[in-house]
Amino acid sequence: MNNVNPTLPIFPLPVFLLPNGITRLRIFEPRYLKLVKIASTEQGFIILLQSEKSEVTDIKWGSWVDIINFDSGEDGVLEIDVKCKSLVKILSINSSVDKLQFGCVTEILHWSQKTKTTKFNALSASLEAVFDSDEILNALYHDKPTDNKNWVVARWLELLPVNLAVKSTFILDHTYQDAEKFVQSIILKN
Amino acid sequence: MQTSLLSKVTNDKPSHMSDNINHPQLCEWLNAVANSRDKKAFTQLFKFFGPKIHGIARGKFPNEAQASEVVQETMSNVWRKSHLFDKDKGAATTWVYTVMRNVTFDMLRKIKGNKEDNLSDDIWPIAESMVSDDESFDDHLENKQLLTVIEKLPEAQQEVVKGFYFMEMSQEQLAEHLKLPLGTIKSRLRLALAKLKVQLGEDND
Repeated sequence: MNNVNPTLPIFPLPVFLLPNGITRLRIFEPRYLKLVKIASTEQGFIILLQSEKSEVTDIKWGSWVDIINFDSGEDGVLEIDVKCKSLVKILSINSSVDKLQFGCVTEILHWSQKTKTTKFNALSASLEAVFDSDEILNALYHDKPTDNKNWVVARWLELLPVNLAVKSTFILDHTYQDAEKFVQSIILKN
Repeated sequence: MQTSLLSKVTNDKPSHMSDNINHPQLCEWLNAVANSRDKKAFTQLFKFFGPKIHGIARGKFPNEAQASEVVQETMSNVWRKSHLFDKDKGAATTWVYTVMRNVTFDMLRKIKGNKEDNLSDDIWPIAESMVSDDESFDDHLENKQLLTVIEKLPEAQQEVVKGFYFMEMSQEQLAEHLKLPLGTIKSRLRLALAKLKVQLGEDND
Protein backbone atom coordinates (compact mmCIF):
# COMPACT_ATOMS: atom_id res chain seq x y z
CA MET A 1 0.00 0.00 0.00
CA ASN A 2 2.91 2.36 0.71
CA ASN A 3 4.39 1.51 -2.62
CA VAL A 4 3.93 4.54 -4.88
CA ASN A 5 4.55 2.69 -8.13
CA PRO A 6 3.82 -0.99 -7.47
CA THR A 7 4.90 -3.70 -9.90
CA LEU A 8 1.98 -6.03 -10.67
CA PRO A 9 1.35 -9.04 -12.91
CA ILE A 10 -0.57 -8.31 -16.11
CA PHE A 11 -3.44 -10.29 -17.63
CA PRO A 12 -4.19 -9.11 -21.19
CA LEU A 13 -7.92 -9.57 -21.83
CA PRO A 14 -10.62 -7.99 -23.96
CA VAL A 15 -12.44 -6.97 -20.78
CA PHE A 16 -13.35 -3.33 -20.13
CA LEU A 17 -13.61 -2.80 -16.38
CA LEU A 18 -13.91 0.52 -14.54
CA PRO A 19 -13.42 1.12 -10.79
CA ASN A 20 -16.01 -0.80 -8.70
CA GLY A 21 -16.81 -3.01 -11.68
CA ILE A 22 -16.78 -6.77 -11.03
CA THR A 23 -16.33 -9.64 -13.43
CA ARG A 24 -15.76 -13.40 -13.28
CA LEU A 25 -12.78 -15.01 -15.00
CA ARG A 26 -12.05 -18.65 -15.74
CA ILE A 27 -8.38 -19.43 -15.38
CA PHE A 28 -6.71 -22.51 -16.76
CA GLU A 29 -3.56 -21.49 -18.56
CA PRO A 30 -0.61 -22.36 -16.31
CA ARG A 31 0.97 -18.92 -16.55
CA TYR A 32 -2.27 -17.26 -15.45
CA LEU A 33 -2.76 -19.76 -12.64
CA LYS A 34 0.63 -18.52 -11.53
CA LEU A 35 -0.58 -14.94 -11.88
CA VAL A 36 -3.54 -15.70 -9.62
CA LYS A 37 -1.21 -17.22 -7.04
CA ILE A 38 0.96 -14.10 -7.01
CA ALA A 39 -2.04 -11.75 -7.08
CA SER A 40 -3.81 -13.44 -4.18
CA THR A 41 -0.82 -13.21 -1.85
CA GLU A 42 0.30 -9.77 -2.95
CA GLN A 43 -1.52 -6.76 -4.33
CA GLY A 44 -3.87 -7.99 -7.04
CA PHE A 45 -3.20 -7.75 -10.77
CA ILE A 46 -3.75 -5.59 -13.83
CA ILE A 47 -6.23 -6.34 -16.61
CA LEU A 48 -4.75 -4.87 -19.74
CA LEU A 49 -7.40 -4.24 -22.36
CA GLN A 50 -6.53 -6.22 -25.43
CA SER A 51 -8.57 -7.19 -28.42
CA GLU A 52 -7.39 -9.53 -31.13
CA LYS A 53 -6.86 -6.63 -33.45
CA SER A 54 -4.98 -4.15 -31.31
CA GLU A 55 -1.47 -4.78 -30.20
CA VAL A 56 -0.56 -4.37 -26.58
CA THR A 57 1.91 -1.57 -27.21
CA ASP A 58 -0.56 1.23 -27.87
CA ILE A 59 -2.41 0.82 -24.57
CA LYS A 60 -0.83 2.52 -21.61
CA TRP A 61 -3.53 2.00 -19.01
CA GLY A 62 -5.13 -0.92 -17.22
CA SER A 63 -7.66 -1.91 -14.57
CA TRP A 64 -6.12 -2.74 -11.19
CA VAL A 65 -8.23 -5.54 -9.69
CA ASP A 66 -8.45 -7.46 -6.43
CA ILE A 67 -9.59 -11.07 -6.29
CA ILE A 68 -12.73 -10.97 -4.15
CA ASN A 69 -13.92 -14.54 -4.52
CA PHE A 70 -12.86 -17.81 -6.08
CA ASP A 71 -14.24 -21.23 -6.72
CA SER A 72 -13.38 -24.36 -8.60
CA GLY A 73 -16.12 -24.90 -11.15
CA GLU A 74 -17.71 -28.32 -11.62
CA ASP A 75 -15.35 -28.93 -14.51
CA GLY A 76 -12.35 -28.24 -12.27
CA VAL A 77 -11.52 -24.92 -13.87
CA LEU A 78 -10.61 -22.18 -11.43
CA GLU A 79 -13.10 -19.32 -11.40
CA ILE A 80 -12.20 -16.01 -9.80
CA ASP A 81 -14.29 -12.91 -9.24
CA VAL A 82 -12.33 -9.70 -9.54
CA LYS A 83 -13.23 -6.15 -8.58
CA CYS A 84 -11.53 -3.12 -10.07
CA LYS A 85 -10.19 -0.75 -7.42
CA SER A 86 -8.68 1.86 -9.71
CA LEU A 87 -7.38 2.54 -13.17
CA VAL A 88 -3.64 2.69 -13.57
CA LYS A 89 -1.17 4.18 -15.98
CA ILE A 90 1.39 1.59 -17.05
CA LEU A 91 4.86 3.07 -16.83
CA SER A 92 6.82 0.06 -18.05
CA ILE A 93 6.34 -3.65 -18.83
CA ASN A 94 8.75 -6.53 -18.22
CA SER A 95 8.32 -10.20 -19.08
CA SER A 96 9.38 -13.09 -16.90
CA VAL A 97 10.72 -16.34 -18.35
CA ASP A 98 7.33 -18.04 -18.44
CA LYS A 99 5.78 -15.31 -20.59
CA LEU A 100 4.00 -13.65 -17.68
CA GLN A 101 4.22 -9.89 -17.91
CA PHE A 102 4.71 -7.45 -15.04
CA GLY A 103 3.97 -3.76 -15.16
CA CYS A 104 5.19 -0.88 -13.06
CA VAL A 105 2.07 1.23 -12.57
CA THR A 106 0.74 4.41 -11.03
CA GLU A 107 -2.89 5.02 -10.06
CA ILE A 108 -5.04 7.44 -12.02
CA LEU A 109 -8.29 8.99 -10.84
CA HIS A 110 -11.51 8.17 -12.59
CA TRP A 111 -15.00 9.67 -12.43
CA SER A 112 -16.54 6.30 -11.53
CA GLN A 113 -14.87 6.51 -8.10
CA LYS A 114 -16.99 9.54 -7.21
CA THR A 115 -20.52 9.47 -5.88
CA LYS A 116 -23.36 11.61 -7.18
CA THR A 117 -26.58 10.55 -5.54
CA THR A 118 -29.31 11.94 -7.69
CA LYS A 119 -31.77 9.27 -8.62
CA PHE A 120 -32.06 9.28 -12.37
CA ASN A 121 -34.81 6.91 -13.01
CA ALA A 122 -34.65 5.55 -16.51
CA LEU A 123 -30.98 4.50 -16.64
CA SER A 124 -31.02 3.16 -13.08
CA ALA A 125 -34.23 1.23 -13.61
CA SER A 126 -33.01 -0.23 -16.85
CA LEU A 127 -29.75 -1.30 -15.23
CA GLU A 128 -31.60 -2.85 -12.30
CA ALA A 129 -33.62 -4.85 -14.82
CA VAL A 130 -30.41 -6.13 -16.40
CA PHE A 131 -29.22 -7.35 -13.00
CA ASP A 132 -32.57 -9.00 -12.37
CA SER A 133 -32.40 -10.90 -15.63
CA ASP A 134 -28.78 -12.06 -15.39
CA GLU A 135 -28.17 -14.51 -12.58
CA ILE A 136 -24.37 -14.44 -12.67
CA LEU A 137 -24.16 -10.67 -12.88
CA ASN A 138 -26.69 -10.27 -10.09
CA ALA A 139 -24.76 -12.59 -7.79
CA LEU A 140 -21.45 -10.82 -8.45
CA TYR A 141 -22.66 -7.49 -7.06
CA HIS A 142 -23.70 -7.58 -3.42
CA ASP A 143 -24.22 -3.82 -3.43
CA LYS A 144 -25.92 -2.18 -6.33
CA PRO A 145 -25.89 1.57 -5.65
CA THR A 146 -28.23 2.40 -8.52
CA ASP A 147 -28.88 5.82 -6.96
CA ASN A 148 -25.29 6.81 -7.77
CA LYS A 149 -25.21 8.29 -11.28
CA ASN A 150 -21.51 7.64 -11.78
CA TRP A 151 -21.83 4.00 -10.78
CA VAL A 152 -24.79 3.47 -13.11
CA VAL A 153 -23.09 5.06 -16.12
CA ALA A 154 -19.89 3.07 -15.47
CA ARG A 155 -21.75 -0.27 -15.31
CA TRP A 156 -23.69 0.54 -18.48
CA LEU A 157 -20.47 1.37 -20.31
CA GLU A 158 -19.08 -2.04 -19.35
CA LEU A 159 -22.20 -3.84 -20.55
CA LEU A 160 -22.95 -2.06 -23.82
CA PRO A 161 -22.06 -3.83 -27.08
CA VAL A 162 -19.65 -1.15 -28.20
CA ASN A 163 -16.15 -1.37 -29.63
CA LEU A 164 -13.50 -1.50 -26.89
CA ALA A 165 -11.61 1.40 -28.46
CA VAL A 166 -14.71 3.57 -28.13
CA LYS A 167 -15.17 2.56 -24.49
CA SER A 168 -11.56 3.48 -23.86
CA THR A 169 -12.28 7.13 -24.66
CA PHE A 170 -14.09 7.33 -21.31
CA ILE A 171 -11.18 6.45 -19.08
CA LEU A 172 -10.09 10.05 -18.63
CA ASP A 173 -11.34 11.65 -15.44
CA HIS A 174 -13.06 14.59 -17.16
CA THR A 175 -15.14 12.47 -19.55
CA TYR A 176 -18.13 11.82 -17.26
CA GLN A 177 -20.50 14.16 -19.12
CA ASP A 178 -19.60 12.60 -22.47
CA ALA A 179 -20.04 9.10 -21.03
CA GLU A 180 -23.45 9.95 -19.58
CA LYS A 181 -24.65 11.45 -22.86
CA PHE A 182 -23.33 8.45 -24.77
CA VAL A 183 -25.07 5.86 -22.58
CA GLN A 184 -28.30 7.85 -22.53
CA SER A 185 -28.38 8.17 -26.30
CA ILE A 186 -28.32 4.38 -26.58
CA ILE A 187 -30.59 3.36 -23.70
CA LEU A 188 -33.16 6.15 -23.66
CA LYS A 189 -35.51 7.21 -26.38
CA ASN A 190 -34.69 10.72 -27.52
CA MET B 1 -0.46 -27.65 -8.26
CA GLN B 2 -1.36 -26.63 -11.78
CA THR B 3 -0.88 -30.14 -12.98
CA SER B 4 -3.08 -31.60 -10.31
CA LEU B 5 -5.82 -29.14 -11.13
CA LEU B 6 -5.69 -30.02 -14.78
CA SER B 7 -5.29 -33.73 -14.37
CA LYS B 8 -8.26 -33.72 -12.05
CA VAL B 9 -10.29 -32.49 -14.97
CA THR B 10 -9.34 -35.44 -17.09
CA ASN B 11 -9.79 -37.98 -14.34
CA ASP B 12 -13.23 -36.76 -13.36
CA LYS B 13 -14.74 -37.45 -16.73
CA PRO B 14 -15.20 -40.71 -18.56
CA SER B 15 -12.81 -40.87 -21.47
CA HIS B 16 -15.03 -43.01 -23.68
CA MET B 17 -16.69 -40.55 -25.95
CA SER B 18 -19.31 -42.94 -27.16
CA ASP B 19 -20.81 -43.33 -23.69
CA ASN B 20 -24.03 -41.56 -22.81
CA ILE B 21 -23.80 -38.65 -25.18
CA ASN B 22 -26.97 -36.63 -25.21
CA HIS B 23 -26.77 -35.39 -28.80
CA PRO B 24 -29.99 -33.38 -28.87
CA GLN B 25 -28.85 -31.59 -25.70
CA LEU B 26 -25.49 -30.68 -27.26
CA CYS B 27 -27.29 -29.31 -30.34
CA GLU B 28 -29.57 -27.29 -28.11
CA TRP B 29 -26.61 -25.74 -26.27
CA LEU B 30 -24.83 -24.90 -29.52
CA ASN B 31 -27.95 -23.25 -30.84
CA ALA B 32 -28.41 -21.30 -27.61
CA VAL B 33 -24.86 -19.98 -27.96
CA ALA B 34 -25.41 -19.15 -31.64
CA ASN B 35 -28.76 -17.45 -31.20
CA SER B 36 -28.56 -15.71 -27.85
CA ARG B 37 -24.88 -15.87 -26.82
CA ASP B 38 -26.10 -18.00 -23.91
CA LYS B 39 -23.28 -18.13 -21.35
CA LYS B 40 -24.83 -20.96 -19.35
CA ALA B 41 -25.14 -23.12 -22.44
CA PHE B 42 -21.55 -22.32 -23.29
CA THR B 43 -20.46 -23.34 -19.80
CA GLN B 44 -22.23 -26.66 -20.30
CA LEU B 45 -20.47 -27.16 -23.64
CA PHE B 46 -17.18 -26.29 -21.98
CA LYS B 47 -17.82 -28.82 -19.21
CA PHE B 48 -18.63 -31.51 -21.72
CA PHE B 49 -15.94 -30.91 -24.33
CA GLY B 50 -13.13 -29.27 -22.32
CA PRO B 51 -11.80 -32.41 -20.59
CA LYS B 52 -12.22 -34.50 -23.73
CA ILE B 53 -10.35 -32.06 -25.94
CA HIS B 54 -7.68 -31.73 -23.29
CA GLY B 55 -7.26 -35.50 -23.15
CA ILE B 56 -6.83 -35.81 -26.91
CA ALA B 57 -4.55 -32.77 -27.18
CA ARG B 58 -2.34 -34.03 -24.37
CA GLY B 59 -1.55 -37.02 -26.57
CA LYS B 60 -0.50 -34.82 -29.47
CA PHE B 61 1.55 -32.13 -27.73
CA PRO B 62 4.53 -32.53 -25.46
CA ASN B 63 3.39 -30.16 -22.75
CA GLU B 64 0.46 -29.12 -20.64
CA ALA B 65 0.44 -25.50 -21.82
CA GLN B 66 -0.06 -26.49 -25.44
CA ALA B 67 -2.86 -28.90 -24.55
CA SER B 68 -4.55 -26.08 -22.62
CA GLU B 69 -4.10 -23.80 -25.60
CA VAL B 70 -5.90 -26.30 -27.82
CA VAL B 71 -8.81 -26.37 -25.36
CA GLN B 72 -8.87 -22.58 -25.22
CA GLU B 73 -8.64 -22.02 -28.96
CA THR B 74 -11.16 -24.72 -29.78
CA MET B 75 -13.75 -23.48 -27.30
CA SER B 76 -13.12 -19.90 -28.44
CA ASN B 77 -13.88 -20.93 -31.99
CA VAL B 78 -16.97 -22.82 -30.84
CA TRP B 79 -18.20 -19.60 -29.23
CA ARG B 80 -17.44 -17.51 -32.29
CA LYS B 81 -18.63 -19.92 -34.93
CA SER B 82 -21.55 -21.68 -33.26
CA HIS B 83 -23.89 -20.14 -35.86
CA LEU B 84 -22.11 -22.21 -38.52
CA PHE B 85 -23.16 -25.47 -36.89
CA ASP B 86 -25.90 -27.23 -38.81
CA LYS B 87 -27.39 -30.25 -37.08
CA ASP B 88 -28.68 -31.63 -40.36
CA LYS B 89 -25.13 -32.01 -41.62
CA GLY B 90 -23.72 -33.99 -38.70
CA ALA B 91 -23.51 -34.47 -34.96
CA ALA B 92 -22.45 -31.68 -32.62
CA THR B 93 -19.50 -33.80 -31.49
CA THR B 94 -18.30 -34.19 -35.09
CA TRP B 95 -18.48 -30.45 -35.61
CA VAL B 96 -16.61 -29.57 -32.42
CA TYR B 97 -13.92 -32.17 -33.10
CA THR B 98 -13.51 -30.75 -36.62
CA VAL B 99 -12.97 -27.33 -35.06
CA MET B 100 -10.45 -28.92 -32.72
CA ARG B 101 -8.69 -30.68 -35.60
CA ASN B 102 -8.19 -27.35 -37.37
CA VAL B 103 -6.87 -25.70 -34.22
CA THR B 104 -4.45 -28.59 -33.73
CA PHE B 105 -3.19 -28.40 -37.32
CA ASP B 106 -2.68 -24.66 -37.02
CA MET B 107 -0.72 -25.08 -33.82
CA LEU B 108 1.45 -27.84 -35.23
CA ARG B 109 2.11 -25.70 -38.29
CA LYS B 110 3.02 -22.78 -36.04
CA ILE B 111 5.40 -24.89 -33.97
CA LYS B 112 7.03 -26.26 -37.12
CA GLY B 113 7.38 -22.74 -38.53
CA ASN B 114 8.95 -21.54 -35.31
CA LYS B 115 11.52 -24.29 -35.35
CA GLU B 116 12.52 -23.58 -38.93
CA ASP B 117 12.91 -19.89 -38.29
CA ASN B 118 14.65 -20.63 -35.02
CA LEU B 119 12.55 -18.06 -33.23
CA SER B 120 13.26 -17.36 -29.62
CA ASP B 121 10.58 -17.15 -26.97
CA ASP B 122 10.90 -13.40 -26.86
CA ILE B 123 9.30 -12.85 -30.22
CA TRP B 124 6.58 -15.45 -29.68
CA PRO B 125 3.83 -12.80 -29.58
CA ILE B 126 4.93 -11.54 -32.98
CA ALA B 127 4.97 -15.04 -34.40
CA GLU B 128 1.53 -15.58 -32.94
CA SER B 129 0.05 -12.50 -34.53
CA MET B 130 1.60 -13.39 -37.85
CA VAL B 131 -0.50 -16.52 -38.09
CA SER B 132 -3.42 -14.80 -39.68
CA ASP B 133 -6.93 -16.13 -39.82
CA ASP B 134 -6.94 -16.70 -43.56
CA GLU B 135 -4.39 -19.46 -43.19
CA SER B 136 -6.77 -21.46 -41.07
CA PHE B 137 -9.86 -20.90 -43.18
CA ASP B 138 -9.12 -23.64 -45.65
CA ASP B 139 -11.52 -26.40 -44.77
CA HIS B 140 -15.13 -27.21 -45.49
CA LEU B 141 -16.41 -25.23 -42.52
CA GLU B 142 -15.28 -21.97 -44.00
CA ASN B 143 -15.89 -20.14 -47.19
CA LYS B 144 -15.81 -16.53 -48.25
CA GLN B 145 -19.46 -15.98 -47.52
CA LEU B 146 -19.11 -17.17 -43.95
CA LEU B 147 -16.02 -15.05 -43.46
CA THR B 148 -18.00 -12.01 -44.49
CA VAL B 149 -20.65 -12.87 -41.93
CA ILE B 150 -18.03 -13.13 -39.20
CA GLU B 151 -16.45 -9.86 -40.23
CA LYS B 152 -19.81 -8.15 -40.02
CA LEU B 153 -20.23 -9.09 -36.39
CA PRO B 154 -19.39 -6.30 -33.98
CA GLU B 155 -15.89 -6.52 -32.57
CA ALA B 156 -17.24 -7.54 -29.20
CA GLN B 157 -18.79 -10.65 -30.65
CA GLN B 158 -15.77 -11.58 -32.67
CA GLU B 159 -13.92 -11.48 -29.42
CA VAL B 160 -13.29 -14.78 -27.93
CA VAL B 161 -14.18 -16.30 -24.62
CA LYS B 162 -10.58 -16.87 -23.69
CA GLY B 163 -11.24 -18.46 -20.39
CA PHE B 164 -13.42 -15.66 -19.11
CA TYR B 165 -17.09 -15.06 -18.76
CA PHE B 166 -18.42 -12.71 -21.30
CA MET B 167 -20.13 -9.97 -19.32
CA GLU B 168 -20.72 -7.58 -22.18
CA MET B 169 -24.15 -7.81 -23.80
CA SER B 170 -24.63 -8.66 -27.45
CA GLN B 171 -26.66 -6.30 -29.64
CA GLU B 172 -29.37 -8.96 -29.66
CA GLN B 173 -29.47 -9.11 -25.86
CA LEU B 174 -29.65 -5.33 -25.60
CA ALA B 175 -32.48 -5.25 -28.14
CA GLU B 176 -34.36 -7.89 -26.18
CA HIS B 177 -33.73 -6.09 -22.91
CA LEU B 178 -34.98 -2.75 -24.19
CA LYS B 179 -37.81 -4.50 -26.06
CA LEU B 180 -36.80 -2.87 -29.32
CA PRO B 181 -36.14 -4.28 -32.79
CA LEU B 182 -32.49 -5.12 -33.51
CA GLY B 183 -32.48 -2.57 -36.34
CA THR B 184 -33.40 0.20 -33.89
CA ILE B 185 -30.54 -0.79 -31.58
CA LYS B 186 -28.10 -0.81 -34.46
CA SER B 187 -29.12 2.63 -35.62
CA ARG B 188 -29.04 3.98 -32.05
CA LEU B 189 -25.51 2.66 -31.65
CA ARG B 190 -24.46 4.23 -34.94
CA LEU B 191 -26.04 7.53 -33.99
CA ALA B 192 -24.47 7.50 -30.52
CA LEU B 193 -21.03 6.91 -32.01
CA ALA B 194 -21.51 9.73 -34.51
CA LYS B 195 -22.60 12.10 -31.74
CA LEU B 196 -19.66 11.06 -29.61
CA LYS B 197 -17.24 11.88 -32.41
CA VAL B 198 -18.70 15.37 -32.66
CA GLN B 199 -18.57 15.84 -28.86
CA LEU B 200 -14.97 14.72 -28.64
CA GLY B 201 -14.08 16.95 -31.58
CA GLU B 202 -15.60 19.93 -29.77
CA ASP B 203 -13.71 19.09 -26.58
CA ASN B 204 -10.43 19.10 -28.43
CA ASP B 205 -10.95 22.50 -30.05
